[in-house]
Amino acid sequence: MAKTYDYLFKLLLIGDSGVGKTCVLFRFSDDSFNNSFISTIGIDFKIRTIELDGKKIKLQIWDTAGQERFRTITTAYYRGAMGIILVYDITNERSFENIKNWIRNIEEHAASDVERMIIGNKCDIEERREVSRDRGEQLAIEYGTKFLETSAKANLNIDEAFFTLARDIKSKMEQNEMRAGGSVSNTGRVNVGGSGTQKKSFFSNWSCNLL
Amino acid sequence: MSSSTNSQPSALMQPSKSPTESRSSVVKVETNESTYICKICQTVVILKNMTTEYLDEERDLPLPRQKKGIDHTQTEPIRGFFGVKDMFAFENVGFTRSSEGKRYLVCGECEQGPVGFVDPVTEMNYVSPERLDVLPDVAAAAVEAGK
Repeated sequence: MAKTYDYLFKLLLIGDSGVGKTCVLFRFSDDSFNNSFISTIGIDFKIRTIELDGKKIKLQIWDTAGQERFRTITTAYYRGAMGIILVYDITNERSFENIKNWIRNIEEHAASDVERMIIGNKCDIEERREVSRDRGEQLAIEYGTKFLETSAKANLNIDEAFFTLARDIKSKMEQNEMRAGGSVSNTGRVNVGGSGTQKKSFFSNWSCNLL
Repeated sequence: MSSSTNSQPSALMQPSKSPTESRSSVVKVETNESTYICKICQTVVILKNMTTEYLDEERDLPLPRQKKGIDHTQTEPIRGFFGVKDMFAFENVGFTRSSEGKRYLVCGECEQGPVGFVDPVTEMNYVSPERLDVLPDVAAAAVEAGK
């Protein structure tokens, strides 16, 4: 059968246990569904299809399945990953501090040009917030990634997060293709620690009118 | 009907041993002529003409809702599944972790299901039209146009 899509991106969710990675990807994991068969056995990965600029993109999205508890996230998990969503919980300071460790883990085990994004997830009520939005933004600037605050429970910004990451991977691939023509001088690699270039696209607020 | 073996617990547990022989009577080369959507959230699970075979056999699928306080998985027999090997043939689908050696398919958006299963031997992905709705023609035309 002919290929029915233009791009296939493998995306990973990374972060401490309990930050809501699972509810970013798996929204029915909360208590009200605990008698459903699916929430009992859990979901390994999802395939989602989106459209960007007329291109059909298949996203294969993986959760760590709790492996992070045992620090066993290594090269095998990262293999083939083109995008990584780093998740912390805004009501959990420690999960925010650990983002730096996760980035180190990525640098050690993932492909050097993997696209990254930081998400501050609100698993709980706003009053329990420990990490300000500003600190999240600053961290993202420091690592040259995009940043979003999400609420998996309210389904706020979740789709935007996946769209944004997919869009970044796609433009990088197109840039790489263009570079064959020699017009693009940038290396296209993720510039760790180098902030400047990505600032402009921060919260560009493009609305996803494609969904 | 399902094979005549006496192991009742789950027809799913029987590996489909010889693809050429035992499957030939129940597997037809046939694609899905409708686009199938989730019964709950209406998200497209698979577009029409994406599957490659039809499994005309009864298999047990777990009930989406399980009664509390029961120590086994409640299932119901379902007959007829569209099969496709390539997982990327799906628009929106989730793959569960393994439960008793079985992996299941769910809606990629709202996760209701199972809407199908993965054959552990052949790794074919089978979806049940019974656990999904058909996208009405008008809507299907709109989806096509939006491609």
